[in-house]
Amino acid sequence: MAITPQAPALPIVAPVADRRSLPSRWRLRWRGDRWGAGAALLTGIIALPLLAILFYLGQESVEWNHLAETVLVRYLTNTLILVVGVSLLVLVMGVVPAWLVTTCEFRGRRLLSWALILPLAIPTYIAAFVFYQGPEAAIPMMIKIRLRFGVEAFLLAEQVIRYGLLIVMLAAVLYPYVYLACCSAFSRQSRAVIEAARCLGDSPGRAFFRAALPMARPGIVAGVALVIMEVINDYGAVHFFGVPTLTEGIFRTWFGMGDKVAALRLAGIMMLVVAALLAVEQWLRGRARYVEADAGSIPMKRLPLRGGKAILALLACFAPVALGFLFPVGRLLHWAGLHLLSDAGSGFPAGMALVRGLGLALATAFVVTALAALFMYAVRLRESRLRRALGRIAGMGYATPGAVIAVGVLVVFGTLDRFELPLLPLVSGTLFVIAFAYMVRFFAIPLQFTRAGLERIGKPLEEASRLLGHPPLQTFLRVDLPLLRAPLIAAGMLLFVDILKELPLTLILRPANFETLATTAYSLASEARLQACAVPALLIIAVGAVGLLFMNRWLQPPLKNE
Amino acid sequence: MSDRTPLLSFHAVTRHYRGNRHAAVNAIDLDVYRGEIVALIGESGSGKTSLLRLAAGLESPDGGEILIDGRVVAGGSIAREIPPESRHLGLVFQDGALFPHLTVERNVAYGLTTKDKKTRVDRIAACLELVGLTGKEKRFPHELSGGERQRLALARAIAPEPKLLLLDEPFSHLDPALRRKLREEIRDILQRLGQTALLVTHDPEDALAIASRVVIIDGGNLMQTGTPAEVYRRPANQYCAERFGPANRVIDRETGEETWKRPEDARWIPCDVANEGDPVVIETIREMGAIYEVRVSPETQPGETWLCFLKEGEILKPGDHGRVAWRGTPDRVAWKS
Repeated sequence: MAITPQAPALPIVAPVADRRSLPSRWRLRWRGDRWGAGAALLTGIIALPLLAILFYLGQESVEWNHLAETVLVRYLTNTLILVVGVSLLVLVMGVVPAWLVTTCEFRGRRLLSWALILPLAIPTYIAAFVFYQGPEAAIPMMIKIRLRFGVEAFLLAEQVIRYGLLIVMLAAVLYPYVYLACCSAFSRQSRAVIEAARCLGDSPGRAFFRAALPMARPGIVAGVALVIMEVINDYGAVHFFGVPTLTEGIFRTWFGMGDKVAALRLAGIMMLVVAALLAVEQWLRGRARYVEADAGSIPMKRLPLRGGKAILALLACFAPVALGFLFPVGRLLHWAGLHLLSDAGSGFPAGMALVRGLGLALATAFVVTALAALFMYAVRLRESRLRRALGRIAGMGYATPGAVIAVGVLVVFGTLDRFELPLLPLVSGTLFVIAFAYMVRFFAIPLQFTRAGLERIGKPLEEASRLLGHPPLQTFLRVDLPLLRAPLIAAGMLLFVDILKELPLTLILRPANFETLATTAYSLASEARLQACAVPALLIIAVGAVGLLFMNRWLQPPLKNE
Repeated sequence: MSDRTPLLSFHAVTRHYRGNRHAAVNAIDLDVYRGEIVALIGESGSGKTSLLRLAAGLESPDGGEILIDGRVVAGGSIAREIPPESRHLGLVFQDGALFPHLTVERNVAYGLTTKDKKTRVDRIAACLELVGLTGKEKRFPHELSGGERQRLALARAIAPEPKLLLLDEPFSHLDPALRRKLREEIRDILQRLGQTALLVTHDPEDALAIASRVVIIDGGNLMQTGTPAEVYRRPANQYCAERFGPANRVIDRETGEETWKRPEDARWIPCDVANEGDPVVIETIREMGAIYEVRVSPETQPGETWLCFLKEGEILKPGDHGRVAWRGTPDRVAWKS
């Protein structure tokens, strides 16, 4: 049969002359880019707290000079020591297992390949109060040192143990960032390139150092950058170990000394440090496209290991898991058992407040993921440098420490309060403020997932939909959204877990009578009620671990069981 | 709208990409009339795909204007470009761009606007029958073969009855045998529907087999336009000639005019028969099945060689003198006897 071409009911092209005769041409132009305007507006709102901090940098401060003369250097050196120490350690703990797991075959490899990411489920402040038992165990030795070598040596030894343990502990829970980045880099590497290196006379080990490692460098750098941001962001762990960094400086200055401007200046310094770090990372990653092989190439065939080598590989992969996950979880389980058996275990602390915390995390995760998906779609709708910049700015909160964002949000809402806007009391000082701060802090997570998802879907599908008569919003709902389901669920999970774990921002912004699992665990631990705090801590870890495995299943095909 | 109004026209359309010195599309004028099947042909990077995307509204022109049915849709004086969804064009993508989450029938239904269920169902059935996919309604795109996917892409594009169908290298991912078959099928479908179409391809066979008019593009500039026979037999320049296989540059002895001749149009004339054609010396002879590939050097154009497909290869040998004349060239010379 033939389909006779017939005139459609609607005019083919809307009459242009009519459009032009409308009163305001400006309005037409603006309406033409509603998506862009929306994206720009959202970016502006997200950037507001960060801009507020920059604004306060120039203000007068009473305490600043005092601060700069006394503790600023200490904050900076401590931050630097931790950053350098942890970076070096995570390189070893992340790269070696990643290489073994992706390129070798040995007993236990599959199990370890996903167990190695589990330490990520343990927040640093929880790991801190488990590991803090270390310095106490060293007391008898310290006494001997004091008696035999004098005060100087004693102080030095005490510092070395404290800093060393803090570095080891941070590395033990943060190395999975590097591990994940390396796994994805190694498994994407073309087998042909490594085989070429072997044919040119390299042993497997030499091929690793001369070909595989340099090719994976951008991925490794990205992983280490994430670790460094976490170290700078940390509040709980450094507080426990008595190693004040810039983040702790903000807490002390604002809430201890009551000097807002000085605290904001500290926040500004942190932002500069992070910006410098990001610039280096961007520069290194910008060349990644040249370095990485395309995903379509044949994956590496794993080298089977036997005997002693297999045992060594197993140990190298098991050690980080044991240190970063099994040890802390074991201790916590032990404490939780003791707690539940004792009388104190009857009442769970802050029950209702906690439910509100969970509800907030869930709702925020949902809304922020949805917003991020729409935002990323808007940014990608038209290719332009400005839109790419919007995407980058909106995700900057992830690189900004939680304490800095909290301070920025306080300043913004404090300023707004002064104008006495009619509806403001409804939002200011409520859960809305903290939810907004979570969005600023974690917007990058769903953004990244959506970006990757949209890139996988590809432009042609959107173009096909547009040509078949569906405008952008309909195209998003009918084509992109169904295809984005998996990455969006993964992003939502990760966001939920991150909000549950978040400590510094929550501590600063939470309204009265509001607790999250994180604040409950932290306050119990700071009261040295370790056994009681084990219960919320384990809950955080459990939720986090489930979220991680979920995300790993969706988004890391190379790590999935083949 | 009379039939004289072009369905699609480009007026001095220019498109520049950031970081490129040369315009991808350089002040091109082109009209596509109702019922035509126009093939845009050129090397990769010649600007042919850009032209197609400009027509579809997937890109915006930096200069000039684009009209559909006599109305400006982009560039020129209008404040806001007509977005792709309002242009009512169909586009068949290079790799199909089928929606992976929708079944065959829902892919076809995607562009239909009618709410009437009966009309929808009938239309889907008609389109699927047209492309020979009846019975595969419930399948998903990944369950189809390469040829079936491209047929589905075609069905989806023609389902909303677009005024103009755009095809972007629709056969390039298919193997040669399938390519030939699908090409003919699609040509039949387009002719049966009386569908106006604009096809972008780098394959001369696609262009010659399907198109009613061929447009050759190079470096963003329009080189030649004409019927398939015209562009094949009378290429405007070397680039146009080479699009469709080997061609020999022949300089007319009287007018000094450059022309391009196809190897299969060569006729061999032994020296003593006539003084028709140009005197040549045979350089190499290669037997290629039914014909012989003979390379000759024309005495009038020293330093050049011509490629001729001749049947009388077995009686020739390198070094022989003779003459080569070209079919389709008016005979100016009288026979000797």
